Amino acid sequence: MKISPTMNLSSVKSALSEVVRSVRRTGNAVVITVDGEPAARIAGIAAEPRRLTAGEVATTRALMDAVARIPRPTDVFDAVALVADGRR
Amino acid sequence: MSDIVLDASVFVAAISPREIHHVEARRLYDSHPIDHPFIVPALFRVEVLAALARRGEPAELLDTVDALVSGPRFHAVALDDLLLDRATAVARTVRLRAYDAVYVALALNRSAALLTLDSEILSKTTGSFPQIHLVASTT
Repeated sequence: MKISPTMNLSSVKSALSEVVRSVRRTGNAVVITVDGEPAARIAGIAAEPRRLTAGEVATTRALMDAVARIPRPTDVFDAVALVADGRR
Repeated sequence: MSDIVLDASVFVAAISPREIHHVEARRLYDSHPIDHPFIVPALFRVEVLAALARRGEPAELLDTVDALVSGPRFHAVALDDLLLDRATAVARTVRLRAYDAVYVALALNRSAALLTLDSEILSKTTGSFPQIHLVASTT
């Protein structure tokens, strides 16, 4: 059965295992409709933090190095004030 | 290694040499092993990019930082009911701004240390939530 972003209740009942596996594999939630109206949602459980792989560490270092090489505005600023201003 | 919740301002300061807290922020940022993700609320990415964009940073920098903060070094936690309920309680208790309360709530929910340079968060949180471990500037 094709797993769609929105499925009616009877379709989900007959394909629950496939729906759950799809949500787990893709991370995309499935909305269940009843009488044509959205009624519930099957969504994945967020993953817990995990150690980065060696490849991910290398990518992270490369991105930090790239940030350091990009020419930027030279005026002095206060990041605490800047972020706090965005929270107002 | 315990979890660390990273305030957006610390990250912005850590990657910005012209920022007044840069040296201390970078020291704090680098003190967390690079293979351990920081814990951040889902709005962290928005806050970081919004702050840098408001400063007039070039698109190349915004793109690079976006790739960095969207990567595995930053474990983004959704603003679900659990987090919002805790943030509401924090905001009511210590009268923090909403976004500040979300960071404190995330640290409380995760029993994590909170890495921040914001003196208001520090002063209001220290007395009311002694269980939270704050990592802050020593300067």
